[in-house]
Amino acid sequence: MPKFASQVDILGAGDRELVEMSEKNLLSLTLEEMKAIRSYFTELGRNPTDCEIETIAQTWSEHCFHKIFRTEIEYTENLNGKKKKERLSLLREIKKATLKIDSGLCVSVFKDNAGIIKFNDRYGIAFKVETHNHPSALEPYGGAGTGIGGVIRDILGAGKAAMPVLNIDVFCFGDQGVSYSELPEGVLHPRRIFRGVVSGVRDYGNRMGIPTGAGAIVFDRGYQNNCLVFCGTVGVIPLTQVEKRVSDDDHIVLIGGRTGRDGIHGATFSSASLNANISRSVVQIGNPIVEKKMMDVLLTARDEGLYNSITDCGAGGLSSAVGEMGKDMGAVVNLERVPLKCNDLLPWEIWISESQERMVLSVPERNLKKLLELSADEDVEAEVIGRFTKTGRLQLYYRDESVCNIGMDFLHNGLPLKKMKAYFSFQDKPMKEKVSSLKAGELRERLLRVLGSPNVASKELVVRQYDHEVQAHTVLKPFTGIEGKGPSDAVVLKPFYDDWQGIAVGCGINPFYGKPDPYLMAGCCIEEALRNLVAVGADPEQVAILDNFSWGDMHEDGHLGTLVRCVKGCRDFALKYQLPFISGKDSLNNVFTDAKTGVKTSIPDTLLISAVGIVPDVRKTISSDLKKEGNALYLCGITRREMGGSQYHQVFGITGGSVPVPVPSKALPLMKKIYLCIREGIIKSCHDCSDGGFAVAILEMSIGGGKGVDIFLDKMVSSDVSPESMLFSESQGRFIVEVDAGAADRFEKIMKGTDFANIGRITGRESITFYERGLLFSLDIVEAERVWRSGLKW
Amino acid sequence: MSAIAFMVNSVHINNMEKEKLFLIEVRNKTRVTDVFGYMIKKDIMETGIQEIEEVLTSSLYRLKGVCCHRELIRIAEEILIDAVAQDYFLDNSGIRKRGAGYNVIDVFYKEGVTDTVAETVMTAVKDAGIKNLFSASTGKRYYLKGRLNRQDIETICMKVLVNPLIQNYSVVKDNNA
Repeated sequence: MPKFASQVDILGAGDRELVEMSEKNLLSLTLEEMKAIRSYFTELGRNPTDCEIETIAQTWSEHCFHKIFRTEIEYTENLNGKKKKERLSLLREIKKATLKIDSGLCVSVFKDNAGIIKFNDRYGIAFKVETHNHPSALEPYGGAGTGIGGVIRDILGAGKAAMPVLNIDVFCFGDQGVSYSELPEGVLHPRRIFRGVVSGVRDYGNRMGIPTGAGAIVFDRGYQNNCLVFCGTVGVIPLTQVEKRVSDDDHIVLIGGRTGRDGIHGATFSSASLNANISRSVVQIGNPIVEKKMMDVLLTARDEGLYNSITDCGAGGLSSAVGEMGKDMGAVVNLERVPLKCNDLLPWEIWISESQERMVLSVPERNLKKLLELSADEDVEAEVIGRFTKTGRLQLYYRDESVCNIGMDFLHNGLPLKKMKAYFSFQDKPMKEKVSSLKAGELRERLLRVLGSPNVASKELVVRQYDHEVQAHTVLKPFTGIEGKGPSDAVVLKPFYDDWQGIAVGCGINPFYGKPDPYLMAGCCIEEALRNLVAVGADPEQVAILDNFSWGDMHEDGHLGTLVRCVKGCRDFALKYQLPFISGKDSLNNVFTDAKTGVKTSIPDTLLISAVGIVPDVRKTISSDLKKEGNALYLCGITRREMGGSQYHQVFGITGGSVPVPVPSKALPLMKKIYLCIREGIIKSCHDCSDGGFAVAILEMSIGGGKGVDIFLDKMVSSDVSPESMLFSESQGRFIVEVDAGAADRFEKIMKGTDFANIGRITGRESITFYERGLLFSLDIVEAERVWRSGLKW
Repeated sequence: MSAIAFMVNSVHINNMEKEKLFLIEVRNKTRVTDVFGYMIKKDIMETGIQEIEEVLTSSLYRLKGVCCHRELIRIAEEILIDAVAQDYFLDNSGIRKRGAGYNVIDVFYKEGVTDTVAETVMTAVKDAGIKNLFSASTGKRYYLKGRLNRQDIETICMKVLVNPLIQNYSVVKDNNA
């Protein structure tokens, strides 16, 4: 008679009972999936144990298996009334782009815990960005902290462990001014979420001793009930440590934190809708000190070659980690050996708990003693919990009782993928937009309003809480200029003391462009990420990107269609900009169900593109703050009336208009030339035009350098002559560059063949003055700075 | 390092001397601005409760086991406070010291929620050579001044001070009582 595992009566269950069983136990399995489990156990002639059902549910969860990204989708696209049908798989489309690009940059893509690219002949760069949306909405501090803790472990689990050198964070929050009475039950105030998330990331990242150097924050009402928290980590790894392989007969060693009841059902829960009745067991609270000690042990053990393979315990806990490592062989685990936080855990709870700060190693017999001693020396718990085998089965025991015995093949290949249908319809004509002809004074007022709006305003209050200096290799920091007030487009690191080569990291996110057509949002995000790197001196031919899709309710019509459309955009624009995707992550079903009304609200579909690139010589890196009086200012790229989704429209509540259309055939050659000029040293500062358009970009440069400028709008290369669009349009492919006064001819010679114009110069005055066939208006730098730096409330 | 891990120890101690619950309150000295309290006050006003006049905050450490007065003072002085800016109070002496006019709310984690600060406190206590304490938990204390009725206090707790998913609160001193 089994004492520790209970039988689940699946053989005798009808379809309705199967559905009930899945719902009652938070398994998030569909009827088809439950049926597949039933027929597997019918063949075995017995009922599964609770542990077996939970293991399957974890492995098959959307979070672990990415069902929607892997399945075959029949997609119908209706563009301007023309229908087109095609069959595709989202993951395959993304990978297709990477395969076609074949840049020689990629070392390990789409197979490990992180993507790895080549840094030099000895080292690679590992990069991964994760989402931690659901936990952060429920308990912002713990949720966000464990988000960053988790992605750091992804880097430690990339190859045989990369050393983390940088964290990045991107957040999307609801409207900070919303009144409490408007919030549904169970939803924390967006301001509380904002502070909690920032504090969580700050405390975890700072205590780990990893600099936090890049990121973005987006505010929109749509994120009120479901915030988004993207956490990323960059690591460096010797190229010889990239390959890892579990040997059968290796010991399974669990290292790091203890296992408790925290985070049970995190993986299956992340596929479900949020509501007011959530159990506290899904909340995870991190302990960075434990992770820091574990990291130190791992990096030493790696260099001494003590283990054959490694992975982190993330979603699904041990179940996913051991299941994944032993996929092609088999594993035996004795669950009573797992060190616990509290003694009353059931075997299945131990197996799927998502307690933080744990990693799994496969250690050959000959190194076991040494590894355990090393851990003990560093006050890190490490325990042998089982062994890899050749049986092809996953066998779990609890005090000699068999609690799970299933085939690895069924576990990893038995999931019936449901074919899906998606539909997307789009009219490719500009939507009506209110065009106003504004007087100079009104334009000035509007510019200040945009400058002080939370999405555009300085994020210094947040960024300064993060340590971006620790490890002493941050060359270009998040804020630049003599007084450190100007924003950087990207962060630049110099990871090795004996090498001038550096790493640039930046990102692109703009959910506002996604509403009419997610295809263009993909293009804009990819281009923005690339522009940010080019602006600091990265080589546009040595850049790789990551995708993070945070989407709304997949059970609802429409969201799958927009997801497919966006993935197609990612594929096409990645090819056009020659940027390989090296890793990615999706977080679907970001939806909230109001317990009282039953009304469901989804987030705005959001794509984050993160980019990592090579700066061949960090001494050539440039920042965005203006440097010297008398230097010429150029605007490179064409300005069009592309105000759809712009910050200008957000602030003044204007709808319609054309969303910016990226033009890679123009933007890419332009970026290559800018890169050349930066390498030659003739560009003294550079900033890309993004949120808020040209006007915000030049103001940020001016604030950063504390230098005034004269700007002649009429000289701009622009297809629209209204000052409103010249100031606020968010056309892609544009950079403002400061060129050394003596090098203007050289600059113009190199840039020949691209669209650029000398639009002004740096003055000795403390004002930013715009001319448009005569004086338009003027702003004090001090005034602009005050508005820009006080727009974000903490 | 959790409470359970120390259980074995406690059974042993129970035979000799009765275990007790100790409370240490740590808060800023009166001349040091309580920035956290100031922010909480702003948040409370934004819920529509304009009667709030002042919010002051403290950290609470609840220790369980056997411990003499001298050891408790060592824990407070050597482990828990920053002597330049903070004071400590044992049990509820801090409430009396604060004076009249405050409602006092304590917020602690629910059982089963990981309390990493408490784990670190236990490590430090052990490192300090104090052997017979076997668990710690951490919390927050809020002093709320103003004409607040019971409904106001509940609103403040649920909307600003407490995340009911992971925390419990108790009204330690109620001016309406």
